[in-house]
Amino acid sequence: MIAAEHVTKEYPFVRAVHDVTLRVERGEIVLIIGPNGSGKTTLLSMLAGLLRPTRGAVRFEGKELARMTDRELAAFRLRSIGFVYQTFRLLDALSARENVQLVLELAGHDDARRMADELLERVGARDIADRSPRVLSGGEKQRVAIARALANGPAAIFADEPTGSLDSAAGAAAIGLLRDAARRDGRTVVIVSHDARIAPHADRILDMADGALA
Amino acid sequence: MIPVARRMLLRNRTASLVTVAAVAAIVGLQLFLFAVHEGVREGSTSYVRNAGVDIWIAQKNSDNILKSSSYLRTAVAEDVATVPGVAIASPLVRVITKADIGGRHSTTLFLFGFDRLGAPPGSPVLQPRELVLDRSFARKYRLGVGAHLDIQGKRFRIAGLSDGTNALVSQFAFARQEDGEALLGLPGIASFILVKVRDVRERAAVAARIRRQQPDLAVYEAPAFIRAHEEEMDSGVLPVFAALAAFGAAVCVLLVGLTLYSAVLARRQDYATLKAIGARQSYLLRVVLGQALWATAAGTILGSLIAVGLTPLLVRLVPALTLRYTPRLLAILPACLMVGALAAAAPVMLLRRIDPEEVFRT
Repeated sequence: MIAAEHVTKEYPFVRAVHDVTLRVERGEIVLIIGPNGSGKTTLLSMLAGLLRPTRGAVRFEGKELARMTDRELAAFRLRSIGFVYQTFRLLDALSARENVQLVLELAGHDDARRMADELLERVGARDIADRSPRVLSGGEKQRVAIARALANGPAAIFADEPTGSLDSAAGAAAIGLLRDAARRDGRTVVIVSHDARIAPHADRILDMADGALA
Repeated sequence: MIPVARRMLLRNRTASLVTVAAVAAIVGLQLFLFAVHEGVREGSTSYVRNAGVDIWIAQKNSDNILKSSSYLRTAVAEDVATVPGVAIASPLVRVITKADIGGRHSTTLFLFGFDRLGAPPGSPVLQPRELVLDRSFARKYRLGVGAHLDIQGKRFRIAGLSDGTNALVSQFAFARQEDGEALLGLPGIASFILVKVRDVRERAAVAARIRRQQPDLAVYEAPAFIRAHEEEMDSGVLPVFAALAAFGAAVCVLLVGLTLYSAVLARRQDYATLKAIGARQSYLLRVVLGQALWATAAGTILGSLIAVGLTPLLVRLVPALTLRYTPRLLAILPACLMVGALAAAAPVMLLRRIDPEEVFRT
């Protein structure tokens, strides 16, 4: 479903990812581990269509992302990709509900508000829908962020250190929600993390070092 | 739809409020300046417009009563009166002179000495050494009907007050023609000859006949004479006000632009997040443009309210001031929206450079 073929990303004076080839199947949970600076997040960015590789190709359901225009890539990310970040990246000018609703509105859903409430219900955050992210705990923010990632029914979810800012209980809840997305809905989940607690939930663990898969 | 632009603007509350207040101050000042111009324009032309004169005759190359000199023989009125279609031809003397008010103040007046035509609307029948004085001038010096002022050592009694005779830097007074002539010091000389025609539909034909009779003089039908006054006022004042308005608009653009640029910079991660989740560039441009328009629209509304609200106080503090808020001033609204759109340029350029991949940078 997602295939990276000899993918390399180079910056001036730095080669962040070097000749990586991998394939992730539908409904699979893949955990990418490795020390800081090993190129995990750069690889995740390329797989998600946020970054174009210097060499090689990333294909998503057969389509090569590098051949898409910026506009096509934006539409692709909106409909096919969900993101979960260590620092949540919720817009604090909006309420929890509106953070989810916005993604649905951008995709053109007429009943975005109702759909946002359903998603918040699913992640156990319905009761905080009207609150600003500024007053939410880390665990609550991550639930809202996962609800936002699930909006528009993405084929894949990319998570960068999703438990990095959470305590044990909140971290376990976040992992549970991502696992559900894969097992119950058949979504592909690619996680970059240092957190050993995620490993038992992954179908495959990839180890990165110095920009390459070990 | 979620009002993202407004929410993001309000999230940056202090900066937004300062920006709106500054835009309001600039818009208020510009409205005030243009209201002054409208007031002066009206005050300068109101008398010409309402004097009940159909044709104005002046010395060649003199086309207004404010900023050009004109000297004619009073006897011209008698000649013009013989032109077919003329009902009345009457001299008007203009004297720009100092008036002494109770020995306390000495100030300049535009004094018009009229005979059968040229009385300001509502004027009483004047006796020798009586005058009608502009109301704002009278208010400024706390003068009323029955009070006196001295002009060239001659004492005049105020017999009435006139409206629409205030040209900001100079106010009008009206006296009998012989008093005006005496003050001018040139017996048998007038500044203008005023003509009333028998049938206003024949005005153009009568004017043509007068031109044939008086080929060395300038003959204006009333609308052309009024237009000449408006153009004279506009050419003198408007370029200055337009320059001030342009300067104010530039300050608004910089102010709103700087605030938004800082806001985009401060919330760079939010915009990167929006790009990452799939918001199109055009959507983000609308969000930033929306914030610019919100800030300028709020500032414009607030500035307009302040300007109109302060008007009674300003007129009270400066009696010579005549402020007129005319429909022409509504042109400031689209101008402000253009300012808002221009102000979005710099933040939009910054926005285009934000990479969605920045969401992964802490």
